[in-house]
Amino acid sequence: MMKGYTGKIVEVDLSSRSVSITELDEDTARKFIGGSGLGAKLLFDRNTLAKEPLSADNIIVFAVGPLTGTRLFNTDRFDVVTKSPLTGIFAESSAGGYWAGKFKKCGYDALVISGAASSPVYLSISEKGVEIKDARPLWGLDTFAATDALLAAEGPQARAAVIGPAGENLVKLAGIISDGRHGRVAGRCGVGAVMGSKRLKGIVVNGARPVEVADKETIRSINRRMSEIIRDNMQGMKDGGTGVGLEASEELGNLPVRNWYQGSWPEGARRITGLTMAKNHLVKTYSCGNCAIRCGRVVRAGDGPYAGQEIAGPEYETLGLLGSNLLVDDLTAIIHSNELCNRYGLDTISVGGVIGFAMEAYERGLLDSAATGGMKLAWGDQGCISQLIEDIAVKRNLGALLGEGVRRAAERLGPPAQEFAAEVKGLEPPAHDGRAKLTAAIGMATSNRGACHLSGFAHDFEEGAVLEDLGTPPLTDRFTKTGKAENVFYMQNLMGMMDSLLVCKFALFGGLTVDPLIAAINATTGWSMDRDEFFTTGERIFAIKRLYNNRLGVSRGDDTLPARMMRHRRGGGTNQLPPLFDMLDEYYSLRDWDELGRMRVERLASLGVEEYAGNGAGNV
Amino acid sequence: MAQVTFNGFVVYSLGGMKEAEVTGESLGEILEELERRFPILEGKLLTEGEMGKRFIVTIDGRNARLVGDLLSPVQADSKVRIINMLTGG
Repeated sequence: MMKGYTGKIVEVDLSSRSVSITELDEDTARKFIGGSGLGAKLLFDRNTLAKEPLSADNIIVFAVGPLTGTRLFNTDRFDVVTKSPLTGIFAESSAGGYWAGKFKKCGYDALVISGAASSPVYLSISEKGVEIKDARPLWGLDTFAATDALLAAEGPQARAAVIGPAGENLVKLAGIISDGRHGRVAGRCGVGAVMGSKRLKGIVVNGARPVEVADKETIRSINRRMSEIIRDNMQGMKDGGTGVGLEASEELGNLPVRNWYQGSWPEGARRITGLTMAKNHLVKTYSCGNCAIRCGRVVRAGDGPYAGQEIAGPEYETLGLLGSNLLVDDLTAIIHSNELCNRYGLDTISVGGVIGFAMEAYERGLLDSAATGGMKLAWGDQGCISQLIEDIAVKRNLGALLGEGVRRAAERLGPPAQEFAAEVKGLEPPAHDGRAKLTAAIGMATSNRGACHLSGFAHDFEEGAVLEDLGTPPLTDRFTKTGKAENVFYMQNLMGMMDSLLVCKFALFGGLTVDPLIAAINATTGWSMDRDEFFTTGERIFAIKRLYNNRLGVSRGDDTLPARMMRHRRGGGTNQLPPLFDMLDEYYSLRDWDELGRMRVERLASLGVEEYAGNGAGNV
Repeated sequence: MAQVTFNGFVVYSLGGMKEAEVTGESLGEILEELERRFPILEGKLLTEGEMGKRFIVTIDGRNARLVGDLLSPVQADSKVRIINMLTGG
């Protein structure tokens, strides 16, 4: 039996209400690892290319990795993979919390859900198997009430991943909330809407079966050493949360301000940093499973509907997209927006992005009072922001259009809207500006799920967050294009492994490097993986996702940034425009793509996935 | 006097140096001394009389901007750490 893996993929067809098991063989496990890689392979193999994302024919995969459940540091994460209703291409979104370990300990490496139930259901997964249960009483509940109800039914030791009203309403910005009110979110790409299209309210897991590993002592030793190093290095993030660097981000011209238009906002930024939150609102921190960092925030809300309550505090991305991007400099207001999004089950990044788009459209006269239902959209007006969040969740008035995402909203408003529509491949950008750091430019333009900073995650490393032993190519100035393509190529391959192993990337900030990670893999699985295999595997995982997108027509024309980032000099800390096309040529060469951005057959063969060669690869 | 350790960009900037003993009785004096001793850090640890935004400074494990300021006393056995600022995830 494989070590680190259960060897089982559980398949649930909600149309026929059947449950079956597929074997995960070791060759597949070693080639695709788990999480992101395994999910991508399953998405490709199950012939989802021609399927409508919100139809019963689409699948949604929840996958974990070999390190999940081993109690190794920062490994309690799961990845959700599907075809996105927002972008129409490859989608993935991961989340931490405690769900992943409980799922793995039920005895599965992945869950594949197909079909659609005739009425709302939830899945109850334990060591005994999978039960499909009635969720009609839960339909319509917000994510916190739904989580509470599910745990009341299934036991307090269980963990739940649920959708809220936004997912039920098939809003394309809907996400999946794990672990309730102080939990985590698989927010991006509309994955919550895919669950909603299957009438699947939630997935409850409650396993305790130990994960078999090859070398327990080595794992313990690595865990002890790395946990201490990470804890020591990440004190600053524990105190200030992921928003600790918000002022630095503004100073660099990286933070989105006024729909990515404005360059500087120092006084506003100071009011909404993680440290300001820590001083004025923080009650306590919380962590995901096996995590020494504790970046999660529990805050006391200020005045308003949640006055006096202890609720989840916003992360950096939320502070950016629902704060600075909308010129909101009041933490109480951003906390409120965050709470609304969490309860409704919405992606705070995309919601903040589309509201910023709407505010600018209104300012420019492309949206009038008839379109807004009489509401005036004003920068910094929390009343209108709260109303828009609710309207998006229930598809009411302007919210019905905005919930389709920036790309579709801009298409509806006509060509002038393209100038300020911030999206890449249909996904709204996170709070990192491709004008501020060239690795962010290439990374976002080439990420397989659309505008994403995590699939490359080079931005903080470009500023030198961690260098020695990580093995990145030498640093150059953030505005210098030399070496940036190579840097992103390296980091994307590394992140492909991180997303497939399901190790939290903050561990890299904390001092995790490649060698102890490989040692952990080998100690868990009994393999003898080396650096070459590690990075080849990461490259393979990236390639298969790109191939999926190539098959859907994604090509060089899609590897770009929003017009605002390509043409508008925002001033402040960044008055540059990214030389993206120059860097793309070099990047394509490193990936061995043709001039249209398609995988070459020869490269697929060298990566050991030549069997996919007929599936959209450029035959050059 | 304090034992100061570095990571990330600071180590890179200092040619691989990971720690230094630095004289000073307050955090501000420690940071000034570091900028004096290592000119490449000038203007980065301190900006217009405040702690620079691009670095996290911790004193005995706590973020210095949260628990104190530049006048915060630094004991002989204090551990000061200077880490690259992180921007979100």
